[in-house]
Amino acid sequence: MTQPFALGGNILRINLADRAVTIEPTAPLNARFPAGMGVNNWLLLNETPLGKEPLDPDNPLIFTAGSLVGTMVPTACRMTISCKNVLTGGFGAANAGGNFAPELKYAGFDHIVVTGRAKVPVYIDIVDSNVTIIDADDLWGKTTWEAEKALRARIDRPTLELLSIGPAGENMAAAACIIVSRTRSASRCGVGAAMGSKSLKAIAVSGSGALHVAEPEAFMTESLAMQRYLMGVDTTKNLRKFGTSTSFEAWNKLGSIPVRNYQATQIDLDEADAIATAVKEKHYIEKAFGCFACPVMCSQYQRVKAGPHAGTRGEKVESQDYWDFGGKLGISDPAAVLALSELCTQLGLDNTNATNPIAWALECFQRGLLSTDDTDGLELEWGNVEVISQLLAKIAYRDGFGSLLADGSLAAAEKLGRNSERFAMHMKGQDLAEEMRVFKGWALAIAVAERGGTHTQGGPLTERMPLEPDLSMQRFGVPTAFDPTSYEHKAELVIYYQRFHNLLEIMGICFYATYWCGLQMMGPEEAARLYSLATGDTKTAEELMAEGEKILYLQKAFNMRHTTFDRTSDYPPERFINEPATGPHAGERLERPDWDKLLDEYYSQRGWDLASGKPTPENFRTVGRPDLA
Amino acid sequence: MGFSTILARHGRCGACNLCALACSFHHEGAFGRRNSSIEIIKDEREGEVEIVIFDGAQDDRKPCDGCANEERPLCVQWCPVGALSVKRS
Repeated sequence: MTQPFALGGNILRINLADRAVTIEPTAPLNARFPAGMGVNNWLLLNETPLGKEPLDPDNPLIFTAGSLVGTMVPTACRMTISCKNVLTGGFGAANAGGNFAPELKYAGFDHIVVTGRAKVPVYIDIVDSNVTIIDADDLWGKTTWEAEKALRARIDRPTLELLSIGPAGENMAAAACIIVSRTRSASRCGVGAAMGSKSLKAIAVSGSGALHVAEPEAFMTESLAMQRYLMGVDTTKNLRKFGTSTSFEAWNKLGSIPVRNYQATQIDLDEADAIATAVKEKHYIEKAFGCFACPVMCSQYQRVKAGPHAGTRGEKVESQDYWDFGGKLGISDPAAVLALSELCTQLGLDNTNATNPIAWALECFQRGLLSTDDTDGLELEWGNVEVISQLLAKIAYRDGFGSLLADGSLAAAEKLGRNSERFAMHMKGQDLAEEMRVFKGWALAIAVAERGGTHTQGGPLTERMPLEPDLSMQRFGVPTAFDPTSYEHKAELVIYYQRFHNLLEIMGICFYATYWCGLQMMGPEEAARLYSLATGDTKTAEELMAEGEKILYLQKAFNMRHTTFDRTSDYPPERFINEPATGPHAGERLERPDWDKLLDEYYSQRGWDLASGKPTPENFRTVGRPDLA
Repeated sequence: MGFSTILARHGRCGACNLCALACSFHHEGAFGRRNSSIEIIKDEREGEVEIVIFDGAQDDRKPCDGCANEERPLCVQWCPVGALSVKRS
């Protein structure tokens, strides 16, 4: 069969239990579902057996490169990794940049579907269509960096790309992530634990193939024009100069960061300014790097030159890391944030899912619900870097008190009791990264996200952007896209961004090149032009947004099959309902009558059942998938 | 157009690989890394990059021809950080 435009062309299936490897063409499924994320979500839905625990070896773990990945579309490098969510039992997915996904396509694959549990630890080695499963006893127990170093010493060939899990994944901690290209992380939903449950330590890939596009010359012209345009936009210039880390200060000014396990929403302004200044004035930032095909280059290489964390160095410390370590845990030293973030990378820990249970424990300790009798003798103080460092390691190794925290804050609270559940900040069982009280569209997206507690499935950043009402109408069809505390029309805005985010995941384009983060950047129209020229499948922006909608139905169908989620699962934690925000929006909270109304609007916009919060069979018919109802 | 030598400023390179992809397009009209005359080798630990431009000595690599049929070499056109430039010989 001819290789389809812009695609690797094949699905690689590996059952680790019997080391069986099969290869099948992607085309039949591409004809039915959007390439990349669409096929990924269908495979997950269709092939995850009912009634199994998330870490059952029969469940599939699916690696997917976006449909434009490997071409020259700016930032098209993203990989989606899906599994049954270890924290929620429902739909799970994590996304990462780096170089692995394009290399996978050059090897001829769009997806890898891994099932079964290997009898001994293994890694998978892919060299084009030659796929081998190799014993990895000697790698088991190593950190992600140690494992990658050992594999690079062992495998001598050009364009070698790697992903791996660390001790957290091996020990199946719910906070385990998968580290890609050493510096990028596929985090959330416990994807690293799913990989550990298969005794799969790493995947290596090298591809000698190349991707053709439908209209080469026009595609090159359009892609180069888009690259040059993006490079002239202020948002790009700021991202390249400072990454996302310094936006921590702006978010703090708005009173929208999680402070000490969400007990407040703003830290002292001078303290936040000191953190941002230290990073901005190049005490730490040395150079900007891009992921594959990315001219934005938001990944800052940082180095700590002095003080207790001297020698710490590495890439990709994000604003969210400052929410996790700076806000939630009370650490004010940016060098410590870098050091702890690097520690998480080595242990293979998702910063958010690791820090949230720690924040819960710190608050329990603060309130006398935990004592040193429970914590292996550790005094759990806010901002104590040494103690937090020990707790991260304890989670990764399920050591002592860490074993209580290793399954997330909800599971920890259920085990501990003592009325500690009110301090477990989660959605649908997955730990939160985000403060939700101030920005109402942001809150709605996080609350209804199918993977549980995430802003990357519809969270609008427009509520933080200056935007005239007429431009808001023109772009989003609503007049309030910029109004943070208003509930009006936020359901429509969230639906818009849910579709847009899914559209970007289909293509593998990074959100940071799009008007998710800057309204001058790539929108659905521009993405549609590049998609059409690359694939030959001519689509309008509206048609691609409709494809994004179908993705959401695949995820919803998964949750309807595997969970009991209903309308009650779409309510925020009680703390956000009862305890007000601090800072410039002091007093804001998600009052229950307002939230009831917002959910009604959200479900009504889609024609879903108001009582259950679920789509009807008619809804599934409307999106062309009556079989999923 | 005469033969062009590509000058690489390794310290500027952000390792995005757009040059390598543009080069592969020049050679084959398709996007890949192994059909390119450029390989980007990145040391993530130390934050360093080496831009390797194959000159014909490597059997399995297409040698750089300076994009003789182009007004400017594609890698130079596509580099978003000015890490590549042309030296006329």
